Order: sequence, then C-alpha cells, then structure tokens
Amino acid sequence: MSIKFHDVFYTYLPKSPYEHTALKGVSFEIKDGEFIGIIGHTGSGKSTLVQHINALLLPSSGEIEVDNFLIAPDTKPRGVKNLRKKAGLVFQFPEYQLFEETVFKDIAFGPKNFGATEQEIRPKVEEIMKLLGLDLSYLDKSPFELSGGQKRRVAIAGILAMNPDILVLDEPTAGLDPKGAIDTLNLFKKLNKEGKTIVLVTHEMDYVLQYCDKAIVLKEGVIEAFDSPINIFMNKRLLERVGIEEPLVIKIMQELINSGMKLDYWKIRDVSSLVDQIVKSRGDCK
Amino acid sequence: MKNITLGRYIPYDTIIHKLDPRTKLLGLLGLLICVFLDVSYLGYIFLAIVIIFLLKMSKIRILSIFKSLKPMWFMMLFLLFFNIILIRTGDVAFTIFGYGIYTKALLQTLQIIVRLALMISITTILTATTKPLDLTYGIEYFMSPLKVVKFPAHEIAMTISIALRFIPTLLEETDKIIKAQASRGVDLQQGKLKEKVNAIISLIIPLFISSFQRSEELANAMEARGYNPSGKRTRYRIMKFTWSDFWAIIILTSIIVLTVFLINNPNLLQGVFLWLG
Repeated sequence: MSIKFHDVFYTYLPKSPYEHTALKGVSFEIKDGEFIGIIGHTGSGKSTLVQHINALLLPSSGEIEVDNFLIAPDTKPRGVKNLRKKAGLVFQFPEYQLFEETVFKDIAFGPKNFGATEQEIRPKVEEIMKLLGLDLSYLDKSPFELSGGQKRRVAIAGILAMNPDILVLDEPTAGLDPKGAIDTLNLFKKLNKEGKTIVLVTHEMDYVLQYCDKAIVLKEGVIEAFDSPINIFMNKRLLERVGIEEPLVIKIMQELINSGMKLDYWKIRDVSSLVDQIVKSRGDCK
Repeated sequence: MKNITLGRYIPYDTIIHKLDPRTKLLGLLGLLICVFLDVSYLGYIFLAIVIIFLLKMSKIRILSIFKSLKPMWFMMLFLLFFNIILIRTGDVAFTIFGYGIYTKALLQTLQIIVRLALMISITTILTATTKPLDLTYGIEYFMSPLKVVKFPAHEIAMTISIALRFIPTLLEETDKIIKAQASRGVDLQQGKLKEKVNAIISLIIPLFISSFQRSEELANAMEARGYNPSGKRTRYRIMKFTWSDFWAIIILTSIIVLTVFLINNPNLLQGVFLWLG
C-alpha cells in the first residue's frame, strides 16, 4: 500500500494563544514495500506526521492518500476502522497502552476489535510472540509482571497481531537494550521483506543507514530532504542545517576516502559492509 | 482533549493578569457572594455589566464562556423543567395543554441561569488570568492564620499545586492513550454499550497505572531532594501588593457595597437608569 501526502499542513489549537503549526506543506510519496526512515530534531513534526497516516490526526489543509483511503480536513474518512487495521501505528513507549489481565488478551485486543474470532487469534498470537522472542509461558501472565523490554514487545505484538500492511513505528527502540533493539529492527526488516511497508521514526542514525531504503528529513515541519540514507549522510551542509550527526561508520568511511582509499560508498550500510569494502579496495591495490 | 478551555490559564499581559493573586481571590469571592445575594433584576444587570467589563479587560472571549457551559445544558434544561412545573406562585403567564405556567417560575429559572453564567464567568476570570501556582500561593496565604490551630496550610497548598500541575500532563496522557487504543481499533464515539464500556476500560486502566507510577516517582524525587513538609522555605516569586492592587480593591469594594446598597434601595438604580435613559 502506498502513502501519498499532498501539501499537508497541521496546526495544533488554532486561533488560541497556544496555536502551533507543526507541519507546513508536507508532500511526499512512499511506495508499496519500502522501508522509510523519518528523522529530525525533537519538535520537528515527526510524530505529528505519522499520526496522519492512520487518520488519528486530520490535516488542517491538504490531503493524504493511503491506498484507496482519502484523508482530508474536517471529516473523518469513510471506513476509518479498516484504514487503522491496514496501517498499524506503534507509539513511542507503547507499553503504556497495556491494560488487559493477561498477555494473550492484550495482544488479542486489536484483532478482536477488528472482528477476528478467538480461534483465528490464538495461533496468530503465538506465532507473533515467537517472532518477537517472547516465551509462550507468558501467555497467561499479567502484562504488568513483565520487565520493561518485555512489555514493549507485548505492546508491539499487539499491533503486529492485527497483521497491518503498513507498519508505522515511532521510536520503537527507545529505552531498549542494544541487543533487544537490533532484534526488533531485524524483525521489522524481515516483515518488510515479506512485503509490508515500514515507516520508522528514529533518532538512531545507525539504524537509518543500516535498515532504511530512503529517509525523510524534517525540520520545523518542512521536509528538508527525501533521499537514500547514504546521500543524506554524505551531504555535510544538509546535516549541519538540520543538526544531525552522521553515523560513526560514515565518519570512518569519509576519513578513509580522504586519506586516499577508493570505496564504493553507496554500498556501505554498517560495519560489516564497510569492512567488505576496505578488504575489496586493498585487494584492488595488490 | 487538548481543546479544553474551562479553567485554563490564558497567557495574556493585561492589568488583571498582573494583579496580585490575593487581590483577585478576595475581590472575585466578593463578587461571587454578590451574585448569590437576592439582588433585583436591575442588580443583575449591574453585576453583568461589571463582569462583562472585567471579561473584556482580561481578554476572555465571552463566546468561549458559553462554549464551556455546553456540558451543563442538560442540567439547565432539567432545572428549567422542574422549576416551571413545580413553582406555582405569581400570575399565570400562559397555559400549555391546560397546564398553567406561572411568571414566578419563569423568573426564578431565569435567575438561576443568570447566576450560573455569572458564577462561571467570575471563576473563569480568576483561573484564566492567574497562574495555578500563584493561585495556590494566594490560597496558602489566606489559610496560613489557621496554622496556629495546627491546620496543615502548606501541605494542602502543596497538594493543590501538585494536582493543578498534573492536570495538563494527565490530559496529554489521556490523549496519547486514546490514540494508542484507537490504533488498536477502539472507537470511543460509536458502538454498542458493551463496546463503549470496554473502550473506557482500555483508557482508564492505563491512566490509573501511569498516575500511580508518576506519583511514586514524584514522591521519590521529592524525598531524594530532601523535601520536608514542615520545613521553612523561601519562594522564587514573591507576591507583591502594588498600587493597582490597591485601586482594584477600592473599586471592587465599592461595587460590592453598591450592590448590597441596591438590595435595600431598589429604587435608586432605577432612578439612575431613568436619568441615563
């Protein structure tokens, strides 16, 4: 499913002393099956932007197309429930949304609301818990007995269980341990390869470089760039303007290039691909 | 959820905003008492003019007051209905289905509605122009004489200011949880009764849990910084009584005195109005 934004503006509390325009004429298109990163400073409008994708916020002006759904100002789009089933949104610190008595009931809450039956839900929930590395013995435990990282996984599982075509994630790895963060991101990559469109809001530039096909750079509600991560991170002036620091891998790579090494920089995404390139380049020398 | 206006501080820079919170507390309490005295309809006109003037001065939109009255429409209709049915004194104004409606009933209902509107206007002036913290300082000031009889004035003021401080936070939290649950297919507006109850449960439980967590964290943070409720403390902002406070008190006192005077001499204002007209 594709996502299209046409000149979207969003203003919080219009006509009051607290008025604040968070999005100022945002237009872009995300194609089916892409893995998109959204980056920018705190307060640049990232969270506001993603809340438009499943019509939690309606634009003040402009419109958004998500597949066949049209999200326009003032009126809730028809079939908003179907839209929310297709475009699953995982909020920042989603563990706050847990409320059921057992982990199973909480994960099953979403699918149930969208009309799935108990028999359909059970195997799906178990499958997703395995995917997220949650032990099945948790099924009948209270979600409030779990650790922070496990709660996070249960909350993410609650959205994945709805089997959305678009998965929007607002800082899913904030506060997770590094291993847990990598595991979750690898899972999203796997889902992406199975055909889901992923939109990832993050402050971790390493993840953007490693996982995303393209990235949207936001500054004060305006899109500064929509390009492949490597092009964004190689653009010093852009980074300076929006106040983003490039990943360590890029810094090392640039030092190597400056000192005369020839590297296919567009192939570099993480430490191992950097090492591959260095080895390859040294091989060429000999 | 972010659009709640009733009782919210609105940051303008008017004379009323700058007044000492103690002046505003006293003065508006005086006005409030006036509204609930049995003044004649001319008295209400007089008070309404004063209050509309104050609203204008503090840059509150009068329309917004009517909007904040919206949740109370049902109660007002209820009042109207029972007043009209049950009060059977005065003259019969007109009859519906052979049931006499009395003038006294209509007048009394009108009086209740006017009183409510004026009362809400007065409290809105107070809360819209005074920062919640300043308000609690004011309340603490007036309660402090009770410390002699071991009344925990500071503790109560602290509790009130913490409660006020967390209202916006809780609203934000509610907004966030509503959205998170909406993303999971919850619809708070539509659906059968059972679905609605479930929707509310999915909202209230997370709110309770986060509130308890928050209060525990806050208590720990306060203790870690050595908070002692009976300790003597200084303030960042010191309340100052200025000349404008002095004039405000003079003006408000004369308005109150005038109102009380009007109750006893209803003909006076009529005379004034006649003379003006």
